[in-house]
Amino acid sequence: MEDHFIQLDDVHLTFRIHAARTYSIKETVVNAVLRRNYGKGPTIVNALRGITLNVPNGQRLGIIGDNGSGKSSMLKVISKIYPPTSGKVRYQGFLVPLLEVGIGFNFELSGLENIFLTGAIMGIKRKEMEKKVDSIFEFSELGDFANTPVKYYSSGMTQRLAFSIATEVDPEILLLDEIFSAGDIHWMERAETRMRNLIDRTRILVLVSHQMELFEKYCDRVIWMQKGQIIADGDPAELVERYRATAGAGAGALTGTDNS
Amino acid sequence: MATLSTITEVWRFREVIKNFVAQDLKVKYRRSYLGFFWSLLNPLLQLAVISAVFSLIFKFEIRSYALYVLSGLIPWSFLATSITESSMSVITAESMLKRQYFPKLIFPLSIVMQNMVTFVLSLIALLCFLGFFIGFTLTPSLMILPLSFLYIMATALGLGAIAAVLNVYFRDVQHLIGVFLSAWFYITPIIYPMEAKQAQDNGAQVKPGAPAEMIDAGPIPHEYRQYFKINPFFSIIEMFHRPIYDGKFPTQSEFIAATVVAFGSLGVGLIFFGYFDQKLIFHL
Repeated sequence: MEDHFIQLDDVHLTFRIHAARTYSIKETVVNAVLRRNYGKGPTIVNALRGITLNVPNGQRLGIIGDNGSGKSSMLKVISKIYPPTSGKVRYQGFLVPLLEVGIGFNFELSGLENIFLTGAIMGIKRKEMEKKVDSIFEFSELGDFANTPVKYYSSGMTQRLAFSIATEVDPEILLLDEIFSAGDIHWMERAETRMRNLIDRTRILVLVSHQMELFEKYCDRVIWMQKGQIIADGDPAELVERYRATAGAGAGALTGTDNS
Repeated sequence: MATLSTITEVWRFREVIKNFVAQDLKVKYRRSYLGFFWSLLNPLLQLAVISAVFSLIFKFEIRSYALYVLSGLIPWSFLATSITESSMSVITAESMLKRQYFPKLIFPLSIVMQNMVTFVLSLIALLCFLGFFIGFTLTPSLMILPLSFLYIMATALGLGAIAAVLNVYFRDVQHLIGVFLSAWFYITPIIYPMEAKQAQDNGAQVKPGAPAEMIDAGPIPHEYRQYFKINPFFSIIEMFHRPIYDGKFPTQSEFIAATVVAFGSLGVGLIFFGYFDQKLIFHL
């Protein structure tokens, strides 16, 4: 029952990025004649290289690292969005990935309908979701717009609804990627409290962020990623300190391609 | 095996499918005054045009010809629409697929199910309101219809799933499908009858005033008919023509052919989809 965990065993994730554009016949001919080799074959990106990681029940794990170091890829592999190229990924528990708020919103549908849709997508039964509706509208203060199609919402309202739905669920494993949404000060304070409650409820937390203070606040373990590998693993305060130190010095050497 | 796990995953996501189907139906008819009636009016107008034109050209007797067209055209529209929309379904879902895990098969499946709802309702409604004016009669053969619906749905899902995968790899497919389907529409007996026999039997037993022209001049010459019967869609459409228009059960060979086509398309479609399922995300 209490046996929630995440387990990664020698996980590799390789992307073959295909040229963003197809070449016209003219370009193809010209390139062939001049023996240019643009866009021939995919670019290979090794997003994760041999990740082995155990996250036991109760742990709050933070991931630090530069852009393109594989932080987001890690979350996407854990949540099965990307199947690993090799290695094994296993987890046990009700997992909710909050990689971006507002997944699967159908803008033609009303706020209320979108609550049920999002709930279904996150794996929550309609009956359970019905119990959450009031609290979602109460927090988002959008009760008056429950039956208005979301396309007429302002972007702030859409964000508020998405955030309120996402934070109303009770995950056992929570994956967070920079979800602390912006808004006015009044909203930000309430949002932060609500987010803290969500983090307190979940059994396992995996947090990716560029806001270093969050790791010290919420995490009890931090891993440092660089070029798809874990290069350090330990106490949040200590690792954040070391990571901050590199930012000034050899930061240039650490930058990779951003594939997150 | 990939296929088996695909199927169990789809079952796990049944709640999502239900939501997708419901939302699509809602959005489709929202803010149109006639709502679901468009699903009746559309085929009705199409039917009126085709019947009027072809009864003039081929000198078919317009009333029974209208029933013939109705019983083939509506299933065909379902098949064509499902395949076309399925082909885009995985690509359209890209932004969702990059933020959360879904078994990809639920996208073509929701499309097919949603079209199935419209199809079944509109066919029944049209038969009830219009059918009896154009010679539709209730016969025991109508009991085959649930099976006909099942078969055509299996065919649509199988082919739709294949189209969805192909379209992810080659975006040209979406353009080809349109051309392909409209060509296929014309080689499938929908706006013309295949056999004079169909009309003859009809004329002798059910409708005394059946068109003599159809008996003499079945539009397809005898020597070519066997080729038309190879068309896998032929037997599927006959599963509707026979009970609705002829008032008879499909012939044994038609039934066997339809069974093979339905299970064949579904089987091949699922295996094909299962094989590419895990690779699709990298090609979006």
